[in-house]
Amino acid sequence: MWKLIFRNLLSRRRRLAWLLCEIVIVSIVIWVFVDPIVVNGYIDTLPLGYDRDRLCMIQTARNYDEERSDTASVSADMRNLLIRICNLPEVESATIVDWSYPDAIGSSSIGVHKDSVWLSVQLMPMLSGWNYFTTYGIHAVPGNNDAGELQDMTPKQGDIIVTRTLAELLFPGVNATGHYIGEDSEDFEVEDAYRIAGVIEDVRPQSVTAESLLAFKAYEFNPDLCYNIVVRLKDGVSMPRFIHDFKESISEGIQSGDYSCKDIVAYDKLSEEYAYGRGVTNELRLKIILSVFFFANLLLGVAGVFYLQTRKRSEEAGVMRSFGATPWHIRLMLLGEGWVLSTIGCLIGCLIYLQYAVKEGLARANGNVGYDAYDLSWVSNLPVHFILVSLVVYLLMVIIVSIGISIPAWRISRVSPVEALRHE
Amino acid sequence: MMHFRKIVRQTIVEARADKAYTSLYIGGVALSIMTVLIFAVIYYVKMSPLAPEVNRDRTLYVDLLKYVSPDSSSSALSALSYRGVDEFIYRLENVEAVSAKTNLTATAAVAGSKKMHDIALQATDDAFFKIYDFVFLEGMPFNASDFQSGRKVAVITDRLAGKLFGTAENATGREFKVGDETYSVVGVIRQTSRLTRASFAEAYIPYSSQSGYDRAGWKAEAPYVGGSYNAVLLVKDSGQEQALREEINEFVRKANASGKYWNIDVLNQPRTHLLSVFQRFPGSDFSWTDVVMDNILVLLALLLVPAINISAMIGGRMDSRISEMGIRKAFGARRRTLLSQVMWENFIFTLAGGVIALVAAWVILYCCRAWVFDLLLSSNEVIHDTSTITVTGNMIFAPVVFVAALALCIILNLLSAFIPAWRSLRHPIVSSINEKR
Repeated sequence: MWKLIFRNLLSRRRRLAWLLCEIVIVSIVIWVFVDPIVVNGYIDTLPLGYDRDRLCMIQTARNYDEERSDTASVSADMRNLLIRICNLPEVESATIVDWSYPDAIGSSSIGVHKDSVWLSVQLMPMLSGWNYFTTYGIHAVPGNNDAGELQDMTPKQGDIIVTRTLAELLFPGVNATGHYIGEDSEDFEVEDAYRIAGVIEDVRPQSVTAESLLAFKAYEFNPDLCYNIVVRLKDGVSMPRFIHDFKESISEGIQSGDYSCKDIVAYDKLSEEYAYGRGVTNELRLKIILSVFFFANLLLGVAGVFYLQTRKRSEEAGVMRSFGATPWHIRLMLLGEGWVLSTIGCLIGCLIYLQYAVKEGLARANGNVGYDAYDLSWVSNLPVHFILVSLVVYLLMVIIVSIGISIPAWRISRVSPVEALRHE
Repeated sequence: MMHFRKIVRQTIVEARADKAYTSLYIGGVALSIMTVLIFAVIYYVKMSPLAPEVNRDRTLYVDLLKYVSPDSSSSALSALSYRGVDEFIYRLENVEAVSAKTNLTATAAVAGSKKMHDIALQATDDAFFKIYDFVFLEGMPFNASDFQSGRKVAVITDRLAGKLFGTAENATGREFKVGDETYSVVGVIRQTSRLTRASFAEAYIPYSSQSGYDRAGWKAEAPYVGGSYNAVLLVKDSGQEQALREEINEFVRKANASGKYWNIDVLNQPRTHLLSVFQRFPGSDFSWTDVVMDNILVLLALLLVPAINISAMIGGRMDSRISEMGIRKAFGARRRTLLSQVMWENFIFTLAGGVIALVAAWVILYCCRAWVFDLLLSSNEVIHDTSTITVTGNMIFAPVVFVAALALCIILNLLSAFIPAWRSLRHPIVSSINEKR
């Protein structure tokens, strides 16, 4: 049958040249759209490093009272508010965060040298003694101080807590605790350097990127900053119900000294909003819509070309049926032509795109360009990445072409041999 | 005219004779033109002056500031603190108006009522109303004196007034709660669309009326960041814009030379409105060449692929009409006449597809308005109440949209129909007539 398929394609090469050209162009275009969709899908499967499911954030407001502006009073007000919230039956634990936290819009970073590569490490403030790691569900790496001790550590200038990936990157094969960042460099000075006080399991500071180059810096409560409260609910508690009830409580007033609660939002929603605010959501939506557009065009093109061949191919199909071919055999032959076309077109399209990809690179999972050199995942491995996404593109093209051919193929295969031979 | 009527009649007969072909053809055209039109309208809404943002061509934004430590090992990037607004933004001289604002969400309610409304709130200053052209149905905006004294007054929209007081009339002077603070209404404006996002809110209050509005920035060495303020600047013309940029650069140079703080990086701000539409956030990699090339490539792809489709279908169709063309040539029809007829027939189909595309584009833009207008945006604001995304007639029924639709029909027709028709008509008369169907 394959011989017949190739012979048919060769005999109709002028008519099918347009279709092949379209398949090549659509393959190239679809590659552009499918690549980030696949990579983002992969990023979504990676663990965040903190347990987001039962987390929500309470936004607070502060009524500045000059008589109670000292740190101790303000801290006590916030502590009391936190205790009040922790005493709610649905709440397991709570902590406070300032303007930088996982999936916050604001961030700060430090630069770290690894070999000759400059890596940007996000530096996240962590209030010491406020149950930060417990509430977020962040765990320490075995062999180090546990998370409970780390979250209560006395803040010291230069002390940071790093993630496992960062620790292994900077100090491979050794326990990084106690080491200084940049201790190997010639201009190293202890007073200015960051000391690793502990190592935690990987936490991704942004849910839209894969890397976990993150360091926490402990500090004491600062009354000049604006804080929000992150709450972990107990197992089995309904998040929507809790949020609804809490909002009603807010309207009645939840207050402690200067601080009052203003609003509450689920952490999942915060992360969605972060992804939306970074443009990731809309970029994916746009790529999906354009992919659907091009697939729809390919479908129309394939259906149109094969439909126009219905009359001629019906006669040919009738002759084949009179020699004993079954309708299924004829449909398979037509589908086979489509598969061969899409295979050739996809192969050409992917090879053309490879020239661009080698120069410009493929979709990336890391926000840190320098980290790509150390990332062991398939996303940063060009050959594996290219082959994987090409297979996805090929599969999609074959499916669309098959759908486009199926209706004309079904019509062609149904013609009776008598009708076909009458025209012949 | 007679000739044209004949072509139209013949086209209708051909269409009825082969409905499947006609559907595939018109469907392909409609899909392509609809997609391009949707993108065109999205860009139009984002870039053109639309009330109340009637001065988009003279409006600039400062949204973020960056501080870098002297040894470049640390950096901080965030919106402006109050000190950044007070010591930097408000002291700019080369501006017609300058305003600082912060977008908030809050709950609004009438005192004593348990019914709470989640609202989009802008905490801003009195200059905000000089930059944006709101239609006041009642009252007036809060003034400089209200702002300086931190009075708890608010300008609300007629939609919010209706929700709070049952009616938008005589709302001025009435009180309502924002969170647990009581505000008095000083003005009622016509609700604007969330699509004019820089100016959108359901209530506007002086940011000085909020406690903690003037709290310190992130740290002593980086005092201008760590807040939530964005700045909007209105300039008279491009000359003043240039002078403003020089003034900002000079300010930054002096601040960095003093050595008192970390180094400020304004990230090539202020940004024009046009730049803010395309650039993800201040300081992100951006090139106008890339933007234009990307859009041209997308446009080409959106038109070329359907054109190839249609070409293939027309080519196949012409095969079945070769004998017809041969007979007409035998009776003296010229190739130019036949080509013109084929082009007109296809143009009529394309026009039909274009009309369907126009209607479909309007329907999609209206039904999917909650998210479709954000598709091509560089940075995206999170929207909680999508009912505030209103699409007005002057947004989607703009003359430019009609002209764009017609131009697309012509381009697509030329791209797709000419070559296959011309090639097909080159066959000699004898072989055309003898061609099997």
